[in-house]
Amino acid sequence: MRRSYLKVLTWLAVTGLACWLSLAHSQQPVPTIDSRWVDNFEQGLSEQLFDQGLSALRDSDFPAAEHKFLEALLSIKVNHGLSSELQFPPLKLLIQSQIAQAKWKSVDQHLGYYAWLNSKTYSVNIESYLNGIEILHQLYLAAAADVNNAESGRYLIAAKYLNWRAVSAIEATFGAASLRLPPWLYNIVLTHFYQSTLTKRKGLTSYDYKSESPGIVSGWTLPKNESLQKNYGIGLELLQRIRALYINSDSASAEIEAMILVYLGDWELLFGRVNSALNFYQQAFAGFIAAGLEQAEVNDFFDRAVALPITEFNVSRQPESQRGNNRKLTYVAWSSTFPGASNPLLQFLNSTAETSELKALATFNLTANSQRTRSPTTSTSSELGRGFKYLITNLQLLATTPDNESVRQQALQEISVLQLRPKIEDGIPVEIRNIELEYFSALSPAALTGSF
Amino acid sequence: MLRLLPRFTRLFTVAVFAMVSACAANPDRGETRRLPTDAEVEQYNAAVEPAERIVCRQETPVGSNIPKRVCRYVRDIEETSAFHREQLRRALN
Repeated sequence: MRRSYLKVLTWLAVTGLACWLSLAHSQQPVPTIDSRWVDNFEQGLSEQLFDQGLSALRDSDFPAAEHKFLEALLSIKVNHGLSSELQFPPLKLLIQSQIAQAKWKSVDQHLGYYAWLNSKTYSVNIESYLNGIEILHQLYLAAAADVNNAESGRYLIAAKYLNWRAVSAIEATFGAASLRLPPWLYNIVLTHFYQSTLTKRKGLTSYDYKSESPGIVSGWTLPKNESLQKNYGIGLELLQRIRALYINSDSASAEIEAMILVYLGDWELLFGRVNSALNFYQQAFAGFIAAGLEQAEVNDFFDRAVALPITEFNVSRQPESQRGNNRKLTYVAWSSTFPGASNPLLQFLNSTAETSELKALATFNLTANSQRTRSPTTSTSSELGRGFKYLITNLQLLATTPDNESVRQQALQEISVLQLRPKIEDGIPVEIRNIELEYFSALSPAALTGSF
Repeated sequence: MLRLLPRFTRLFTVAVFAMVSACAANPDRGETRRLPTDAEVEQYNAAVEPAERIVCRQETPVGSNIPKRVCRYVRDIEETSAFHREQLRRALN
């Protein structure tokens, strides 16, 4: 009996000591948020962490930003559930901070998580699903454009496949004739152009350029020419599909069709099919006239060089009054991974060309390499022969920032690969002299993730 | 010149016949069968697992100089490759 008393007393003493110790510990000064355990049940914590992460991103402190966004995600999962859509904003910024650090394994993991989360919205809200796909597409492109990324092709193909999934979702929900399809189809067209710039750099195209998944499949590689042909063919097929969608829709008009013919001409020009491009431009010219535009208006539309490919699909012709009088051509290169492609992500990344490390001011002529372009006396297009090629000639650098020889060489090399739509006058291409170009070189990898 | 005309006519007839028969008709359904376009293949590939994807490419069959478009499942390509590798390994051992 006495022994059991002693046992109870000892147990009480030990428990009391433990309670006292824990109480004493809890009264110690509160450590900073970085060192103490985060109370994930605290309401409003995720917002605080999100703001802190954003602030770290603005300071280009990517590791700190990544840490805060990961904690914000955890807090949202705890308070709002594993499938909460509130995860999207911090998840997007988390991936951007990881891309900036070239942490590709983590990028892959979180892109996959984003896709999984987004797939849950498909049956609930198609608009939200498509919006999620658009963001994912941009994130994949940002990852593909990073020069430090050895698997840029894989990310590019993943971006393309996402667009195809969006196309399939729209077809299933709104029908195969929906006019919601063209922007997505045009995204795929653009991806094929980017793919072709990758292909041109190598003798053979590797598996990486055709699939977004790891692992090699025998017989999957294509010779360069066949691969380029495929890229060109798919782009052309999709542009023709866009044309058919508009022609068969209620909003069909001669002007819209003419605009699409311009896109078709641009596509031909990008793949060096100049005669075919000129045919499309001439058809477009005739289409604009048939739509009731004055010849002078159409000439105004075609009166300046346009850098190709155009990154946004738009079937409405911008009136001359809104195009401004500034004849200077501004071009923001995207990435040295994709030479000759302008940055399609400026709006998404909230970036400005000012973040480019290399700027150049240049002038050049856009001319044909044949004497058979229209001379002032020629009035018909029948004199246009085969083998035309539009070239940048008489390229002169007026200024570069920074100003040194290597930068000048780089600027000259990068500008010389640009592809531009020629000036068309009365349906005939004419030479343009002294085009002024403000050129911004590819953004740095950190700038590719955007400013916040 | 006139002597060449019957030969040309024969060649033309054979060419037209070859073109028409290229679009193989399905007698049961009365439809013409065609391979999917590259864009259709891509859309399909984006929706399925990697092993279920299709690869289409131009191949020149043995005994001919005319390239033909052939489409195969990735899993079939893999199986064929594995089979050939195994055959080669056996032959070498």
